[in-house]
Amino acid sequence: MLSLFSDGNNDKAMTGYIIRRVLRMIPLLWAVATVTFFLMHAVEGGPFDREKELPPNVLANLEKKYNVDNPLVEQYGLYLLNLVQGDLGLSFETNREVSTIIREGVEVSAQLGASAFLYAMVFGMTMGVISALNQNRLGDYLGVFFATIGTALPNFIMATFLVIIFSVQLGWFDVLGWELGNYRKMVLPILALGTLPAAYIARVTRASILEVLNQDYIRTARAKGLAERVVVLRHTIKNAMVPILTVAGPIFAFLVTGSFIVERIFAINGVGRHFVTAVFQRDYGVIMGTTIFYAVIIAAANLVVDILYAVADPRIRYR
Amino acid sequence: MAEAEAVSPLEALEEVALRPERGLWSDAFRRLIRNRLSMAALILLAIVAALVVLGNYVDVVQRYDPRVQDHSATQEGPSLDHFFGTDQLGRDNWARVLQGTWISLQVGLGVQVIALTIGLLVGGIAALGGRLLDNLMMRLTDLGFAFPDLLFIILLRAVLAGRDWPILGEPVPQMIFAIAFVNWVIISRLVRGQMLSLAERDYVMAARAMGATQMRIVFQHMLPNTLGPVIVAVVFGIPLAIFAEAVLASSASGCPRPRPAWASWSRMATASFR
Repeated sequence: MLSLFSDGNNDKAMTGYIIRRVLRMIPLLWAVATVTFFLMHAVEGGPFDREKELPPNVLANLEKKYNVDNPLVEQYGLYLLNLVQGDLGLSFETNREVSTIIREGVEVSAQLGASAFLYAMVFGMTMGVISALNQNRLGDYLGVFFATIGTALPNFIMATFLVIIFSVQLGWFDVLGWELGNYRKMVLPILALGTLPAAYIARVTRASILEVLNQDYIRTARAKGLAERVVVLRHTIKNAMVPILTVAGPIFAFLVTGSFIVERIFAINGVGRHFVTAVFQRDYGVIMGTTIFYAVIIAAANLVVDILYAVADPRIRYR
Repeated sequence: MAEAEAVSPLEALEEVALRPERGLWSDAFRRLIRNRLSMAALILLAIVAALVVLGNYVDVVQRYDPRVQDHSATQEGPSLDHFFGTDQLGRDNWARVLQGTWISLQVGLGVQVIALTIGLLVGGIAALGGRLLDNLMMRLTDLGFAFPDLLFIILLRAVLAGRDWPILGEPVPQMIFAIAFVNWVIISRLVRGQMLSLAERDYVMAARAMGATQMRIVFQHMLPNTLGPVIVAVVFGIPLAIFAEAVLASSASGCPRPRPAWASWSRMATASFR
């Protein structure tokens, strides 16, 4: 992999490219923070609305403590100032640091997201390759069947059925929770979260491989007597990677942000769970914190994909 | 996802030379009819659509009022009276499925109509409007890409909830708007990329050389040719929009009860599984 970067010029160009991309993330994150800030304040009701109205002096004290008694623009300025210093503020509901809440959930969410991503990529690409190499034969039909079912089932339906069949009826896996290394707690959440992206990747892989198999250089490789294994592994799959990588970035983002449904169903204490509750409780600090957190991850994922393009296709240069 | 069929150039030429002249749409239609799998899918879709529309407006098809509870017949299995059985409150599942499907279909199609409109506009302006507009539009798309989709949809839906603005006062248009707002990004990028590459094609140059106006070139020559990948994206977007609506429902910001959107309803159903 590294040998592809041995060209010294491209190495340097790459470093410059990465630096520029990271710098471009800053205005983007600022824009995300700004839009989210004003949108969430446009949601009707405030963080301290209760069924029984709070006494005015209690309310005033609370609003003072959490800085929501100033004009909106002032609050916004203060938030940005704190954000630049890495301070995400307090959660109104629990009175804890938002950064602590995120830090507690991020490990589990990252484990879940990463393993689902791994499953989606490996399984999806395998299915896609099998489909393409057996075009219009049994292997292809199996692959296309999987791809169709996978894209047609929303993850919360799949999660429910998986739990009913494999946990309740067969007792193979646990109903709730997540624990790295404990397969009883890992398999079902990963399947529920990763199957839709796996199906999508299978489709893209199949189409992309079929496209490459029609190229002249594959015919050349076969004509000069290369083993089929070498033709497939070295000449086909690697050249088919660019479209797969293109969808891998958004899929990663989808897995990270989409995980909250699966986290809710399996009662996993990840980051995603907090967002939905926060919107309903108008917990401004948590809404901002989780949105910015996710935006950073998405931007980073897109950057990684753009860099990986060069690994898959060394002709791609960065300027 | 489009797969190019391997046709030798000569064969392709022959086919073009021999067949009678047809317009773009009639050509597409003939090819659609010739494909048996597509026709089967089309007929199936037409049946579903007809059932759903009839089921919401014609009593004979709907059979029961989806809102009426019959406490003498709760949790029944499928029968001739109740095709899909009844739920825990004794409401007819057949009528409720039809009603829920109608909502889901409206959301799926509505989202894509709005997303397509915005996507074509933004993408087209970016590709054809010069450097400044291109930069502006693309930063806008970058911003759309940077947002965590589902979180943004939930937030937007919360902002819209309870407003009595024209059109947006109802939950279904509110959901359509919220979901469409994050869905146009992919389309606008596709349109821009396609248009930029099409602008370099020989036939566009030929049209320009023959003195076609910019308008004619864009609408007659470039737009139809951008549509291929865009249609794929739009069609794939429909189920995603329905899923997004389902996510809204499962996070309690979808259609208010007792209207049964698919998701909130399947959640209720799973509760009685155990």
